[in-house]
Amino acid sequence: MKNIRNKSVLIIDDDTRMLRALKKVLAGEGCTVTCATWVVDAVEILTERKKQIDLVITDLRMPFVTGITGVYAIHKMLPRLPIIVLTAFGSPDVKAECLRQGARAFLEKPLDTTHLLGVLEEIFPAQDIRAG
Amino acid sequence: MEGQTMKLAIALLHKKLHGHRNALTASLQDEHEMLAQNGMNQPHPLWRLPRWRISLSGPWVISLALALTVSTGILNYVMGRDVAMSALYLAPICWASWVAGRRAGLLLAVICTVSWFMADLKSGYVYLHPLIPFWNALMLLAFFLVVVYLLSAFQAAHHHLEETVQKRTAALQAEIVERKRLEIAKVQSERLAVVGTMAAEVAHEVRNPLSSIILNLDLTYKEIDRFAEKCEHSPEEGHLLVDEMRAEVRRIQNVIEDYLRFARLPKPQRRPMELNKLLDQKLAFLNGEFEQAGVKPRINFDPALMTLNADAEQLWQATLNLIRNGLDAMPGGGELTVSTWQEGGHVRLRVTDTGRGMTKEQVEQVFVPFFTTKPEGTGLGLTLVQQIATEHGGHVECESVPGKGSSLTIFLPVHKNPDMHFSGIARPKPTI
Repeated sequence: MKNIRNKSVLIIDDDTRMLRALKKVLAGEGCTVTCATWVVDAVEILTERKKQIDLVITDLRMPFVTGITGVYAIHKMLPRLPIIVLTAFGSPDVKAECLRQGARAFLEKPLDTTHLLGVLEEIFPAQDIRAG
Repeated sequence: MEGQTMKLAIALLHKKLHGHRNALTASLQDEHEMLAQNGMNQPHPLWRLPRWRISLSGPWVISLALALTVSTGILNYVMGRDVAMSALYLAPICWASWVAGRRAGLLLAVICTVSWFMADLKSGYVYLHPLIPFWNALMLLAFFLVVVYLLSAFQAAHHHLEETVQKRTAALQAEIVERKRLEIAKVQSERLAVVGTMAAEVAHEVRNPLSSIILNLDLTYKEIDRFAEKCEHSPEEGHLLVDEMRAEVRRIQNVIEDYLRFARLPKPQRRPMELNKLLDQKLAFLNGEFEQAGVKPRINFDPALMTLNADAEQLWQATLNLIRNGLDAMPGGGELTVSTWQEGGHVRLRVTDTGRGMTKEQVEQVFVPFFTTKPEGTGLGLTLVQQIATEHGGHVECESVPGKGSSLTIFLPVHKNPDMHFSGIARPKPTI
């Protein structure tokens, strides 16, 4: 997919198998993927390489710092960075809260590659237009 | 029997005030059985008296009482003045007044007096004064009249008491049935809430690995393509296997979604809504599904339906479940009718199919969570429908004839205080 080729994606998920599968899928589409199993690690990575990350995909239920707090913190730090929430514990209330905190899209697990790439395609042209 | 009723009423009140809910459920059942055992559902022999009166009509009673009077008169005459017989006249008088009413008693009192008078005259006794037998007859008539009056008054009081007892027994039984229904609904609702919470937790936990499986299957699909290209081998067999796995994963996913839909059911957001309009709009989207299933849809809406105060989305969810069940029951096609009408304080929404139908045993279990007649069903569809109906203060009924089809009806009350439905105070009586 051209839109996301060469984009740098940061994935935050405490489930390493999920992390691995997602990394392979996105790497297969030409993305540079960075993984973090904690929100704290993710924030550190973003602090170090804030300009290099184009997209964050985060889980919600994680130890110590939850995904919603992560979304809030990342959005506060980099308001223009698109964040996708990908969770198995979704509900309309949680979705509304995530979008309110600054997430660009809310996806529920399980999702397939086509669905994920469709959402990325929607996000990146908008990002590119805005950036331009 | 009145004493027993009172005891039961006091016991119920006692349980209501102090009893534990579960104990109450059990005791209600016991009391209901006790009522049945004591024959309170069947009238007591004494209570059959009014029926007897009805079955033996007034003229018949009077005729038989007259025959008894004449017999007593003849006996009186035969025995002569020396043997006192006048008390025997009380038998036809009392019987007629009790069974056929005060007027019949008065008539018999007069006839008995005349009979006694005739027997007295015929006996040939000579009184000191010619008017003495008339005076005696008058005295006897007065006595008979007093007896008739007292007896009929007692009979009226008895009848009134009997009616009151019957009314109270009926009210008590209705209360028992209603309370039992509410208790069962509450226990089931609590059980479902626990099941829902557990199901949601399990479903969420399953979703994570399922997600990895799906993504890995997508990757495997691509790998097969690459591998096949390298080996110059057809990827078809590999693709077929992956598709099979995808289909099975989708199946798990559908089960999970069913569980989550059930567990996530929020409190209904009630707003005034036109049920016919909602169904009209939504049914239009199902035309493709009907066509694909070879099913002819029919609608039969009552245009005079009252506006409902309900959650439109939840009602549609319930209707959709009923429609999909109907479609599943007609794999070879058929006819599916969606009807609405208003009756007895309820707006009724019925979905009828011409499918394979269900046996009586299946119908009895149809709302039990996890009961299903479909090989791939979760058994939560109709439970969800019932839950939605209960949340709206209504209920669902199922009728089915094996081989002919099934009919499921949602009853939605049109009362004004929908939030009071579960307290058992403002809820309308069930149509049992």
